[in-house]
Amino acid sequence: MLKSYLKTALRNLTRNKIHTAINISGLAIGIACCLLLLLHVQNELSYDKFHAQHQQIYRMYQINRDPNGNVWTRSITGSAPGVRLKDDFPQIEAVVRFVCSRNLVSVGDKKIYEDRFFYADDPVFDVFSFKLTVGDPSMALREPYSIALSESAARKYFGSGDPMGKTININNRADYTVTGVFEDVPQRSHLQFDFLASLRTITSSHPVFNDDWQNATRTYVLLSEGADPAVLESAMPVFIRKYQDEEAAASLNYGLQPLADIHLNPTSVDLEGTTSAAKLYLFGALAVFILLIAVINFVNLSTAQYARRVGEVSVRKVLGATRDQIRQQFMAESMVLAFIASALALVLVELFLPVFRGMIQTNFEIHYARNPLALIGLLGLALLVGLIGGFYPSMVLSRHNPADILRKTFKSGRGGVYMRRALVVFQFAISAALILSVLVVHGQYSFLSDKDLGFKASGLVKIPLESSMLGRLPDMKEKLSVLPGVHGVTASTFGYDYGFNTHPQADPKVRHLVVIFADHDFIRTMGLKVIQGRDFSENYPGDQSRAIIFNRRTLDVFGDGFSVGENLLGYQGKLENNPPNAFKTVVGTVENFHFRDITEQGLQPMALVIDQSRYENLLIRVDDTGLSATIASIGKVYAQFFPDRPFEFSFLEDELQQVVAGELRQSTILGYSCLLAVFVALIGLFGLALHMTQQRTKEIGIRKVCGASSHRIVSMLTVEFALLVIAANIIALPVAYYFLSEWLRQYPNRVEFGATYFAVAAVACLLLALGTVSYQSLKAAGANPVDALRYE
Amino acid sequence: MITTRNLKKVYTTEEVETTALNSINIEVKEGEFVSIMGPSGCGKSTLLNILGLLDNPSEGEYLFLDENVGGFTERKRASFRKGNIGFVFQSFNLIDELTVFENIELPLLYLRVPSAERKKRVEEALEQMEIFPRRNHFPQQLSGGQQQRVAVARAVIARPKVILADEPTGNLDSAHGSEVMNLLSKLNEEGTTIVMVTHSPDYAEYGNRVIHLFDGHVVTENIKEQHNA
Repeated sequence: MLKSYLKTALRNLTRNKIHTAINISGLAIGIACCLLLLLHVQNELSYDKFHAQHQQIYRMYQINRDPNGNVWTRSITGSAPGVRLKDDFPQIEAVVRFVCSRNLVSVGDKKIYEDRFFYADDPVFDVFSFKLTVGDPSMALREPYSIALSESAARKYFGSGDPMGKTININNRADYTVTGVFEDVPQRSHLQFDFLASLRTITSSHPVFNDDWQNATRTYVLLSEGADPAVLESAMPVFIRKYQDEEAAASLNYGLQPLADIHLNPTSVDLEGTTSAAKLYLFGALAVFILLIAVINFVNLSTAQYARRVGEVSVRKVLGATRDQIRQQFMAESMVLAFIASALALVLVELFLPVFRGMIQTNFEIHYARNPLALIGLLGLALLVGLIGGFYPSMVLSRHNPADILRKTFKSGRGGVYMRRALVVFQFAISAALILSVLVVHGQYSFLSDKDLGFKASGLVKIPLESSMLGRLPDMKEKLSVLPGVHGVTASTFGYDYGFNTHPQADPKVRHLVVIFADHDFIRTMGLKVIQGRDFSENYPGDQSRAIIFNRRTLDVFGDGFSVGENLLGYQGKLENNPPNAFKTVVGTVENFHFRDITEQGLQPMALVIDQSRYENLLIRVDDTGLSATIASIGKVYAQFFPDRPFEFSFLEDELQQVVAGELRQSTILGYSCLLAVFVALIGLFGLALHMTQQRTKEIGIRKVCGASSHRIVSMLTVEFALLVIAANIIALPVAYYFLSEWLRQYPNRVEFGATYFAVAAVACLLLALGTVSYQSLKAAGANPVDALRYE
Repeated sequence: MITTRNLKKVYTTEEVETTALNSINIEVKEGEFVSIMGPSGCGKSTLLNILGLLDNPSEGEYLFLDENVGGFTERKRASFRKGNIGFVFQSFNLIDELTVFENIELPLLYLRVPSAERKKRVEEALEQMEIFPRRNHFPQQLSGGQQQRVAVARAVIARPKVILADEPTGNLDSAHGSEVMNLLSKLNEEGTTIVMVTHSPDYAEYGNRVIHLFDGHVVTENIKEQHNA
């Protein structure tokens, strides 16, 4: 019997070629999209799970509490707790601390600044599953000045030669010995590095490092099997009090975050591309919407076709088929279609994987063999789609009275028509909402990237600085500032490549104050506008240690308390890590400028403070004309001062674009998904229009014989669809408005989306739908009426 | 074999009530060949639907093989139909997606006859109807006469007690029409009961008797004595 079902199914599919092509292509696109998005979600969920012991590994995070009971967390701890934990808690099997730093790596003539450079405690290869291909995992980082390289880094510096035992010079200061080579860190790791040096390198030369409770160390603990992290967490206050005075202990606590949770729940300061669960929900929702539209096509087209199958079903029933057998037959047909579509979807996924990878900027792979979930998922999807697609037609068709066959005329039930209309409305409601979302999201991002940053980003050259360079900085600045084509030089911690840390302050009022350390020339070189008070000035020697300049936002948030001339002494406004200059006087206020990125969640209060020991970047304002000559002469000056350092520079504007591009990715994926969703909906509409005009061929013929013009026929056929699409817009747009307003709320500067956006979305939706339908209508209207009447 | 008492069929739409059959009392004995005649719209097809258990009467009794089947549910009617009643239609009603062989095989498939047995019986039927060489063709590739022969083969394949034929010659020219009528006569001679609706007085003569319907009533019954002998 099954053989007979399948045979009939295949013959039916090959007979109605257009119908089959529409159905299968729509479904295949839908399933492929859904599969890609779901695999992406799965990939995101699989972060850090490749570590064999990931269920026992926790990242420590720091919880700060101020006297008013405000609490905030950071994913970095000091380096002190890490060395004490293991002795104090038997359930901790190992502790691994990471310190990341940007270092100048030299091998022979090769001198490159490397960002993916970590120092780590030596059990790192025992705790984590980073695979050492050469070297002894437990010994590799035992000695100070030992270093392990990723395979890529080994190739980069040593070519095909064996790097083991060779030396690498770091920052022109010390030679490190290569003691291991590890497989490149998988993309699904939140820790990303190419160089792993022994942390003993630091602790052996600076023993105080191990007593620092404040610096930026990342601490991971391996708990013994079955140990409860909550028990450990609850013991933390006692642990801290053992080493800290009462006041310090009261404001500090530590928590534990499971390793596999980090990627989706980044705390405030993090290393690499973390995502948020919200984004994954977005992708998941998109996947479901696209699949839903495709399945609706499938159901709609199948039910529309069923009038044509009534004859066959009646014959089968007359010949003894039971309702169950009819149901089974149509289910089988639906399954065949769904499985063919799924196979095609697999091909599409393979074809578009590279494009998709580019869009989401990760190089995730689909290993069907290693990822049973992908195959089971696909099979499940095919089965589900087949069931849903086959359910309604098989129910309706099996219910038919076989006597219909002898009546020879069959009118499809009104119920079927209403349901088809409802489904079309639903599809276009989703489409309209997606079109509006794309318009608004895109509008918001272009609004942000076109927006005035508060300073001129173009023409700013950035040169990274090392702390060892800072002593010679004033001299170099002087030489640079007199170069032709150079309009200003400033040193600061400002740049877009690193996120700024929010410096936690004791005073709740300044708690989220972002501090930029900058010299006297910063405001002038950047082109910031002083709106109150004055700029830093050499004429006021006290500025060096006491002056502070706020942005307008600070005044907005904190009110009149911080006006010019105000001494922060009264506020106990102690700037962290800056004890000698603890008390500052406000000397001025500058207009807001976007110092972090343009899409930040709320423009934050910011303070400029002079501190020559902290600068990280040199910013040079240059002329657009003769740019290359100017840069060459800057390079020459740099080489005079730092002959052993490679001259590296970038344009601040490019870094800014990178930041924007990262944010734009989200809207790109939304855009493409929306495009595909609308396309699939249109494919379905095309099929439906084809079917409906075919059904009305005779009616159209009679109307024409009776004098109807082609124009009237076209409008008769399209008006119904137009009304459906308008209804869809009326339902969808208010809902979309609500959610988009919620989404926009996270941006302090947001695009106003008024009537134009709605009009564009509605008109686009309508035009696309009518364009699709009118092809069929025009064809039907232009046909010779005699042919139509002979059609019977 | 077939007895109806005061059979009535009323079609109700939103506004009008149409009586298609009224007080139909007929009897068909085993082995008979009964023709039903009447103008268009007189209720012939409605009667055949009810006799074939494709539809239920609105009122009255219908005894098939001494069982009152008038009030059966669709499920019960379907299982009663299976194997007991064979149908032949004016428009053949072959399934386009199935070959000649598969079309004829279909009733046996639904009766869950084993595959080898099905093959044997279908091949016999193909031989009997002289369409064996056409067994792998699709219906569209056959002439009208050939298609109707396939339909007749399909109707008899399950060896039903009765064959109901609804204008089996309606779409055929006279040569093919006679061919099909001879086939039905032959089946009747072999013992199959046949009830046939027709417009043609000539073809009606093939039956033992003719029932005339007009506006839902039986008006006359002509019994041909010579055939009863």
